[in-house]
Amino acid sequence: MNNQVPEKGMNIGTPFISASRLAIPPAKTAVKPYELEMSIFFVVVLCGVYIAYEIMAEPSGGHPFGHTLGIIGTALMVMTEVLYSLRKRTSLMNWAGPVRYWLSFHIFTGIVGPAMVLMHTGMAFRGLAGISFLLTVIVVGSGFIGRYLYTALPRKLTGVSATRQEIEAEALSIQRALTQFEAQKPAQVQQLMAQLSQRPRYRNPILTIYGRTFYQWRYRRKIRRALRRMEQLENSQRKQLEQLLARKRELERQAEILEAARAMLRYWHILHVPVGLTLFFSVAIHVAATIYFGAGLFN
Amino acid sequence: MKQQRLQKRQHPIFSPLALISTILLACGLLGWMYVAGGQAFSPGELSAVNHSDEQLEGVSTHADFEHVCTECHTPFVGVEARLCERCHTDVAQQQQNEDGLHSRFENVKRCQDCHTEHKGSQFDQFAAALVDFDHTVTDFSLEKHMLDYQNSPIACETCHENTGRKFTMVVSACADCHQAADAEFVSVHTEAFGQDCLACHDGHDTMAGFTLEAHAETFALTGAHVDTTCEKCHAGGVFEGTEHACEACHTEPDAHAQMFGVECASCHSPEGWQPALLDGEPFDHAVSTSFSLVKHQTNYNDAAFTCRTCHAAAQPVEFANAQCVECHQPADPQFMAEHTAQFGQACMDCHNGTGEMTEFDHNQVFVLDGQHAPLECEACHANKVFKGTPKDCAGCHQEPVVHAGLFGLQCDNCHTSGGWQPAQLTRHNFPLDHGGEGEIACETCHTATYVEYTCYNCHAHDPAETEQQHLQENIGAEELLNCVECHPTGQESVK
Repeated sequence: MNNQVPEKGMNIGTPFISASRLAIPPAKTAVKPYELEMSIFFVVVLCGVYIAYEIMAEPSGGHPFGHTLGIIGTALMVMTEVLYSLRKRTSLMNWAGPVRYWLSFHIFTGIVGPAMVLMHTGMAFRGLAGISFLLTVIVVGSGFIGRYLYTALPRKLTGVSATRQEIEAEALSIQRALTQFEAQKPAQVQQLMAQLSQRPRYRNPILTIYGRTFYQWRYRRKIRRALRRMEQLENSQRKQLEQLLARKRELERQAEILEAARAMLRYWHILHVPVGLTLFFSVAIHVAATIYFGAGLFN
Repeated sequence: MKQQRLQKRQHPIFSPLALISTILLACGLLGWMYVAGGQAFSPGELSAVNHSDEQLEGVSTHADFEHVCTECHTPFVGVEARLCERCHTDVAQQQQNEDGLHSRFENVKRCQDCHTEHKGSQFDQFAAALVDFDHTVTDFSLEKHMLDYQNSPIACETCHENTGRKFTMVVSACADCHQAADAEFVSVHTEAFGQDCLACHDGHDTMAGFTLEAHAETFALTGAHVDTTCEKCHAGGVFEGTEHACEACHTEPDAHAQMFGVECASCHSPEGWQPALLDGEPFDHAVSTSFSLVKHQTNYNDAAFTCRTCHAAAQPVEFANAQCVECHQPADPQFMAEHTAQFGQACMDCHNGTGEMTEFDHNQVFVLDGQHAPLECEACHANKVFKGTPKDCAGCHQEPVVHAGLFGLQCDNCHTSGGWQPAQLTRHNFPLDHGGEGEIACETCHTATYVEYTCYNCHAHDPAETEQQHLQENIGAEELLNCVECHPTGQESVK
């Protein structure tokens, strides 16, 4: 695998190690998306508007303001699924940019849309509208869980998940760099490196998947503490070592949970998608009933 | 590889498990809707509140048709007033007859705007409608009726009998409440106008429908009457029986001396007493009669003039000239006797009341310019005798001694009314600036008269020496007194 030309965008590089300096080409990571921050900002603004409205008038899904919120929120929620799926699963929207951007859009509309629908309810959950909102809560909650599960799988810059071989190849290149570095260091450093490279005892894959952020944070703290004691190392070396060790541990963990995460993602789809579709079904009936009975803006 | 990619991208909905799950969930939802019926679409329970146990078309409350949405909703239209009015026939009747509260609302066909529904079984639609109820539609604003005399909020029941669905006005409510604040006024007021307060009052502290136009039907409020407070005419709040005649409020002033009567409108308008009118035009004594009253405000005894002082005739606009003489005679009988004998009794022909004679141009008789202009009349017209006053200079001026009787009485040959000096010296050949220091005074040379002169006032001589010198020129002693004969320009060289 190592001899193969790495696929475009894959984070694989040949580490260059010297006695005094340990250098690894910077990992090509995707631009950090800000969909969560933007979503939270919009939701906060909406909350402010809603509170202002509540002070002036009794909020209700049938009032012009409440109904408008419901219509826009529903439109956003429909776009959440439809546009994302069209881009992700068909070739109809190949022209419309990378899938990861559409995932960001999916997350943004998937948070802001339901928030607007929540305000549309006027905190009254009853009948079909109440069930639609309950399904919305489930789908959004499930979406958060799915998103975390989704990020457990290593991705290439295109958003396509990496194979086990690709993960192992990157881990191996890091190991080589570390071995080369250790060879020129005293036994004390070698011993510490060996200690830090040690994998903990077996954990439940579900725990590993959902606790990975915590485990990674704990491991990084452990590395920093240990390296601080190594007076032979320069600060820049400490920082690079921390990065390499952390990345290696992440790759090892990814390889370890790869199958389990893929399986869980499949099962998650079986929960998320039917509930989502049922939600759309109930919303469609709710909208049809609103038009039929001439309620809200349709009166 | 392509196949693999397609498979990987396939939507999970196409997995049998997801498909079955979706169908099961959707069926469950449809099943629940079937069982729940209309409740599945209801945003809230319908009201079950009925204040009177009365049934309308066999229905006690909206909750009776909780699951039958079409009782109020027309498909694809929404809530329609006509559906409400099937039961609420009284509301429909009010609109038809244009009588009653519901005939006054512009949005009467949108029942749901005031009577909200789906707010729960205990929701009182009637009470909720009152929250935003605009009382002004009843033609009575609550602007001044939010707090009572004790500053407590006024409840609906203070004025209305509340039957739960209907508020009936208690006729005596106004008087009952206001009596406590001012029993005497309310008593007098209700006795005068009755107890139907709403017939006049609209709650804005003004009378309902009261306008200046409305008041004009009985009495036009124009001019100075616009700003007059009601109490000025309706003292004690008594409106009935208010007199419309001017004298009911106004008394004739002393100046009138009771000669004009009470027909104020023949001379005055509501715009104000001044200016009074004469034949419909503003009356100004100075302009209209050519006689100003500026010097006729008080008489010789400092008593104020009244119209009657001069206008003694029966008709106020008629003026008897004899009135002038009657008043001025006692002050100076002799003058008046002579003056009237001289000029007659038509005082107004000459006098305009400002102390000058009307239309008399003295310049036509004698030009009063120069030194004559500031002169008092008496300077020429002693004892106020005007007739026979001479116009020639000698009538007032005598030839001065200095003339030595040589210049005659044609003063204007040498003098103007601007002054005796400077005179026009038409025959004086001797230079007046003799001596080279400007014009010298006449008296320098003419010490006694203007026909005699002497040079020796300035040119001091030793007579013997002067005589000796002139003898050498064969000029005798007699000729030495006439210096100008040989020195006409005052120079030493002889002519």
